[in-house]
This record gives sequence, C-alpha cells and structure tokens, in this order.
Amino acid sequence: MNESLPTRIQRVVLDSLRTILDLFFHRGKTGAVLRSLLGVVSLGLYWTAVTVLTGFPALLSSAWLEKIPFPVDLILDLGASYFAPDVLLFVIPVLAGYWFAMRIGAHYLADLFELESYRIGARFLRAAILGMGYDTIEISTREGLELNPSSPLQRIGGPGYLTVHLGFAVVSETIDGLPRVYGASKEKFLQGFERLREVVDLRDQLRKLDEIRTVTRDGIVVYARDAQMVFRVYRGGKTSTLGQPYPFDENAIRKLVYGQAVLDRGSRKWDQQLPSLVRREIQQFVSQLSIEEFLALQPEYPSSIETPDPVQPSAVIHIPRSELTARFHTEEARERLQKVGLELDWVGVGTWEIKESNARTPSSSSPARTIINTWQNLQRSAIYESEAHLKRVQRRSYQQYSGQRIREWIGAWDEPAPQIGYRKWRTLRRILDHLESMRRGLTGDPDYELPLNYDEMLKYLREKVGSLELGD
Amino acid sequence: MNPVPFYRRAGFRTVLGLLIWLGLYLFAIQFTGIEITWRPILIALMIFFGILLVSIAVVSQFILPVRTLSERFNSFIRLLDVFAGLRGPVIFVENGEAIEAFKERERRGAGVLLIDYSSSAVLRTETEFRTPSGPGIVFSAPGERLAETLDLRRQARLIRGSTPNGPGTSSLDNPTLAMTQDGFPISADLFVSFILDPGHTSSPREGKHPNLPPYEFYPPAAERAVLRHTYGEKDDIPWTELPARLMVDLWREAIKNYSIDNLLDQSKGAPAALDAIRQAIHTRLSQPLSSEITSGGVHRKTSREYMLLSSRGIRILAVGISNIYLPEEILAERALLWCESWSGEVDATLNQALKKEVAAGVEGERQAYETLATTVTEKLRQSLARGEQPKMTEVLSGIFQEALQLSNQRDLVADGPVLAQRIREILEQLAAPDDDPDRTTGQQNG
Repeated sequence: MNESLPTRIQRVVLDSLRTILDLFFHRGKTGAVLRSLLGVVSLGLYWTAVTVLTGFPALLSSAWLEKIPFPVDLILDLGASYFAPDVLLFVIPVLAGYWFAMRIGAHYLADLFELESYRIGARFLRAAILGMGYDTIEISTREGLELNPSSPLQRIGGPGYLTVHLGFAVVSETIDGLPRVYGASKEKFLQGFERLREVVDLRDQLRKLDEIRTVTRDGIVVYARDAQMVFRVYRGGKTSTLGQPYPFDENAIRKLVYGQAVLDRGSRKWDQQLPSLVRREIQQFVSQLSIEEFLALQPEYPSSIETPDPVQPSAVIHIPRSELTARFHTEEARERLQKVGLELDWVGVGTWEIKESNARTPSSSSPARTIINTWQNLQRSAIYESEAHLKRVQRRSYQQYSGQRIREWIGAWDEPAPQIGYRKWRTLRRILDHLESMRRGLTGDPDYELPLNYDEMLKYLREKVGSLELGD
Repeated sequence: MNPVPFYRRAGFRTVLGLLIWLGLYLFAIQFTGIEITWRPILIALMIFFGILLVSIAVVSQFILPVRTLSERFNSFIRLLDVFAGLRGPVIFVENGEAIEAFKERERRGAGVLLIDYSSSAVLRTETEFRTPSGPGIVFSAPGERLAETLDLRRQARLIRGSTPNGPGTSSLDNPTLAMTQDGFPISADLFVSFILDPGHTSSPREGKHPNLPPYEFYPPAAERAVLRHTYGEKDDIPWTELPARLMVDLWREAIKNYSIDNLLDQSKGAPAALDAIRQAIHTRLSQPLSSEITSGGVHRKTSREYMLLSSRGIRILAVGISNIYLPEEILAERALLWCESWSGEVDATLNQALKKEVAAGVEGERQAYETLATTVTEKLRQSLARGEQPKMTEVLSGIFQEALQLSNQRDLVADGPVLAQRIREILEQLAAPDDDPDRTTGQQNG
C-alpha cells in the first residue's frame, strides 16, 4: 500500500523516537549505565556552565590560597568556585527537582505495591534508573522467597541479582510474562520487572500421610496409616553427576509451578501434589475392592498360631507392598506423574487398620474382631485337617488309653489291701472289667474279629473272680 | 494497630526534605550579593520545575513496566497527577487479588491497574462495565474504578463430608449430605477442579510453552464471569464458588437414584457405582449434552449445569468422589452381615476339621483297645487253648508281662518307662510265695 509522505515521515519519526526511548529507558544494566553517564555528564556540564557564567566566584580567601603551592591553589580555587553560593543558587533547584521526582516515584511505587516503607521503592528506582545498589536475593532454602519481605526484587521485581544454591530452582516471569527457570547459579541478573514466582526444591523429597480414610466398595471403612513416598522433580532422563547433582527438566518445573490448583485456603504448594495423588490412588484402590477381596491380598498367618489373642480394639493388617505400589510404577502412572512434572521413587503404604465402629455393642461382631478370629479359625482348620495332625492325635489317643489302662491296673494293685490274695483278686477284677469294656467297644465295628478264644478267656476270668467272691 | 506518628510518615518527610532544600537555597542566597526578590526565586522555581518535569518523565518510565509510546506517555501523566494531587486508584492485582489501600477504589482520578500474569480485571463506571483487561498495565480514566479481579489459575475445591448423624441431620453440618432412594443419609468427599475458560477445549497452557505467558486470558470468559456475578442475601458469591455448589447438587440428585445396596454393590465385575456417578457428573458439568444419572443407566439430554457454568465463563477440568460416609448404624449392620457371611463358612470348615480330629482320637482309642485286648491276653488264651487252668497269680503274671512288653516299646504307651518300672516291681511281688486264695479254693473245689 502506498503511504503518503506525511504518514511515512510520521511513521519514521515515531519509530525513531521509539528506538531512542527503548535504548534510553532500557531496563538492563546497559540502560542504567547510559542514564547514569548522561545524568552525570549533563549535571557536570550544567554546573560548569553556571560556574563559568558566574565568573568563577571565589569561595576561599586569597590569603589562605597564597600559602598553598601551585597548581594546588588553582585547583582548589576553581573547585571551590563550584560550591560558591552564586553557583549553588542555580544547582540547588536542579538537585531538589531530581530529589523530589525520585520521592514522588518512590511514593507511587509504595502505593501501587502496598509497600511497608517508601524506601523499598526508592531503592528500586535507584537501581532501575541509575544502576546503583542492585538488590541481591539468595535462594538456599525452600522458603527463600519469603525470607526477604523488604527486598525490592521480591516485592516489585528486577533489576537485581539472583543467586540460587545447589538443589534449588527458581521460576520467574519476565516483563512480557515469559516464564524463566534458573537452576544453581551465581548472581544471575534479572531484568527490570522480572518477578520471582516460586522456589522449587530439586532434591529427593520424602512426605508422609499419617492417616488415609478409605472405604471398600461394600462400605467397610479401612484406614491406611503411615503412607510414605519419595519423589522429586522430573529429570527428563538426565542422570546426576558431581558437577550436576540435581538435573531438571525445565518443562517439568514450569508444569509443576503453574499447574498447581488454587484451593479455597490458598494456592497449594508444588510438593503437596504427590501426597494428594497418592491419597487419591490409595482411596481408589480400596474403593474398587470388597472387603473380602481386600483381605485376600493379605499373606497367610504362620501355622504356629495357638490360641486367639484377647480382643483387640482394632485389627492391623499387612498388605504386601507390591499389590498397591505396582499401581504407581506402571507406565501409565509414570506418564501421569511426568505430566505434572514429578517422578516417583518409592511409595510405602504402611499398615491398614479397621477400627471398631462406634455403634457397636459389646457383644456385637465387628470387622476388626472378625478378621482376627476368622483368620485364626482358617489357620486352625487347615491344621486340624492335615494328615500329620490327625496321625498325631490318633497316636496320642492310643498312647493315652493304653497308658491309662495299665496305670489303672497298677493302681488297683497299689491300693491298700488286707492281704495279698485280695490285692490279686481286686487287680484281676479290674482287668476283667476293662477287657469286657474293650470287647464291647470292639464288637461295635462289624469288620473287626475278636481275638481267638477271647470270649472263653472272659468266661474263665469271670468264673475265677466270681468263685473267689463266693469263697470270700 | 498503632497509628504511625506523623514525623515518621513518608509525606511529612518529603515536605521536610523540600523545606531543607529551600533552607539551603535561602542560606546560600544570603552569601551572595543578590537581593531576595521575586526574580531570583522565580528563576530558581523555573529551574526546579523544569528539572522536576524532566525527572518525573524519566522516573515515570520505571514505576510501571511500560513498553509502548502510549504507555510511556500515560505513565508520565499519572505521575504528574500525583504531583498535582489528582491521583486516582493505583492498584496491583496479584494472583487474582487486588492489593490496594483502604478506600483506594473510592478515588475518582485517572488511575492505574497493574495486573500480573495470573490475573485479569474488569473496570466499571457508575453505569457500565468496561472491556475486561488481561495481564499488563491498564490506565483507567477518571471515574473508572476496579469492579472485579479474576484468577486465571486452575482452581480446586474440596468439600469434605462427614458421618451422617442419623435422622434430622442438617446439611449445614454436613455439606455433602444426600439421601438414597431408600431414605438412607449418605455423604462423601467431593472434589471439583475448574478454570476460567481459556477459549479452547484442549488442556490449559499452565506454563507448558516457554515463549508464552503461563496462563491464558480469554476476554469473553472474563466478561461473562463478571456480568453473571451472583449475589446472596448478605454477600456476593464469587465465581469460584459456583462449581462446588453445582457439584453438591448433582451428587444429591445422583444419589437419590440409587438404593444403599446398589451403591455398595459388591458383586465382582460390577462397575463401582461411585465411579459411574463421578463420570456422569463430570459429563454434565463439562459437556453441553449431559447424562441423567439413574441406577438403570445413563440418559442424554441438554445440560443445564453446563449452560450455567459456560454462561459464567467457567470450564470444569475434573471432578472426584471419594470416601463415602454412612451412618454408624448402617455401617454396624453391614459389618454384621459381612462378619456372618465371611466367618460363617470358615466356622463350618473349622467344625468339620474338629470332627475329624475327634474321629482320629476315637480311632486311636479303638486301636488301643485292639492292641491291649490282643496283646495282654495272648498268654492266657494260649494256656486256655491248651486246656490248662492257670491260677490267678499266673494269670496276673502273664497279663503284667505282656503289659511290660508294651510299656517297653517306644511311643506305644504314655509314660512307658515309668509304668514298666512299676510293672517289674509288681511281677517281683507276684513271683514271691504267698497265701494264694486261688490255691486254697482250687483245693476246696478239687
């Protein structure tokens, strides 16, 4: 499109003006040096011009100057002229004007950013305009940004210096809103109005969740206790070395910082992301299982359980780590974590607990007590049904009965008797009773055949015992 | 808070500073031969105000992040207004919140809004709203003031449930209280995540691009959020509260289509009811065509909730339902049912096992009968089979000898060695000559 001459001239003038202004008001060190230089040179030239135009008014007495050798007296005389009242009359308004303008600017900044003191604004302007007294922030802890409430760099933004210690990264936004990530570095220069957003700890983090309430799909409440996790900022596959012990992926840091949700009580910190995720994952894991499926994950108790423990107020169950932690180490889980800028090293679920219900009466069952009793009963029935146990019981019963009978015969012999004959008869009588009882017990089994002449023997013994009774 | 003493206030110190400069000037003028008239003072004032003007022009370029010619000029004018006492509201908007002094918005001069990159703002006059402004500098005209600030970041609200206390439980105590189809109160932890509509349906930017600001600003969404700002009886309802309220409402609507048993369906393979409810709620909040949630399935229709949120510039990102809370009585009842079904089978198995154990004991005893009956009577039966008539002592000796043999066999008799020792003693006594009644009787019977 053809522009008219005036328009073209206007455009060129504006572009030139824009360029000059951008150069003069550059927010970096270059602009500050230029402005300082121009300011000092301008002031110097003006001051000199005033001094010259007023004819170098004398300030020091000539008598005193005569005592000073040349050329020092000349330099002193000329130098003192700069501070003569005739000259200062024209310099003081300049300095006052400059001073007042800076005060107004500092007050404005204090008003805009609600600064506690206008001095913060004044320091900022001195650094920004003249490059004098750049502020420095050192980040060596997670709370680095909160430790410098009176720093202009913290409250307003650059220019200034940022030093980030090993193990940390800092996210900032430039004047155009572009996010920047600074790893460990010394005195990195931040441009004008570059604002610090967040400090990220690059080291491995351990977090704990003391108690997580979960509910199985059939409504039983189970608590997970002492869940722990070790995680860190996603490193993008980089390995740590001595020179670079905490590598990081810039993309991950940005996602971590800018992806945090704002809750009703304030913004959530990035290091709370994974504990929340673990909590949700554990709750989801349990909610997909019925209590029986959940308990089926528990390892078997050892067979040495003897008697049940006294009733406990809660049942503590150990679920093998692999069942739940496997969920966090799948490819899908890994990608999900990478999307938010994290990588997980390890997660431990701790113990699971089923508490007693408050509505339970003393005699009513509860999942907690039932779990203990039922698992013990399950183990007991496995033991009782085992071949080895049954053989042991059979053998013990055999031994006990045999021993008991023989002991009774011996007891019959040992009982006090008036004479040996009576003792013998009593013992035989006892043996006969037992042999008859055995006969009754054995004849109940249709497959069993009595020993040869057993009945004849019993008849003989009856006659023996009976005849002696009659004889007695 | 204690008021700042006047001598510590910045304004006092500035005036004091000016007086000091004036004092220096008057002090200097005394040493010159110049008469103190209007002329020198006027010259001084001209120099002062000239330099002041130039300095203000320079300083004004550094109090705001100005970049364009227009912004530079406006910043200069704003600082001049401060000098002239015509200052308007000067507000910094950070993370969706206005950082302002008390009664800042009541100033009527031309003002400035500095909006950070996670915020946006809308100005207004007495009678109308202005176009929403995104991150950056906004120079407000006289009479314009800040209407509302908006947070561009992702928001999340967690509404915690609690155990319903039974009949008469109020939703004031339990914000997620709902009633099942069969009248049981139930509660859960509800979670909703949302954002001011970024103007597209893909995932929000949130710092993913290094060459773009971290958050997106979509003016129509901000406009809708402000225009449809809701007000309660006593206070206003910020836009960030609406999604949580809708979430609770939909949760209650969904629950009333389920009985308690359907909700806690433990059949294997059946999809968890809460998961189905969550998905349906998410669809209803984030899609124009929604799902009606019933226990029989999902039916499609236009979503009022989506329209409500969309008309306020809100986009739902995620919803979650977890941690169901049942009344204690229901929990106890379900626990009892589970206990009985869970332990019943195991109890039956245990009873069977105990019976087997008893049977093994009986079998052992029976075997003992057999052994004793056969072994201890062996000699006696053989004697009788040969036609002999052993005497009592011989009978007893025979029996005890067999018993001794049994006791000496390892693990056949309990306390075998002890009994064997005793039996030996009895056998010695039996072997000793004595007054044998059998011998006497045998002689009598002949």
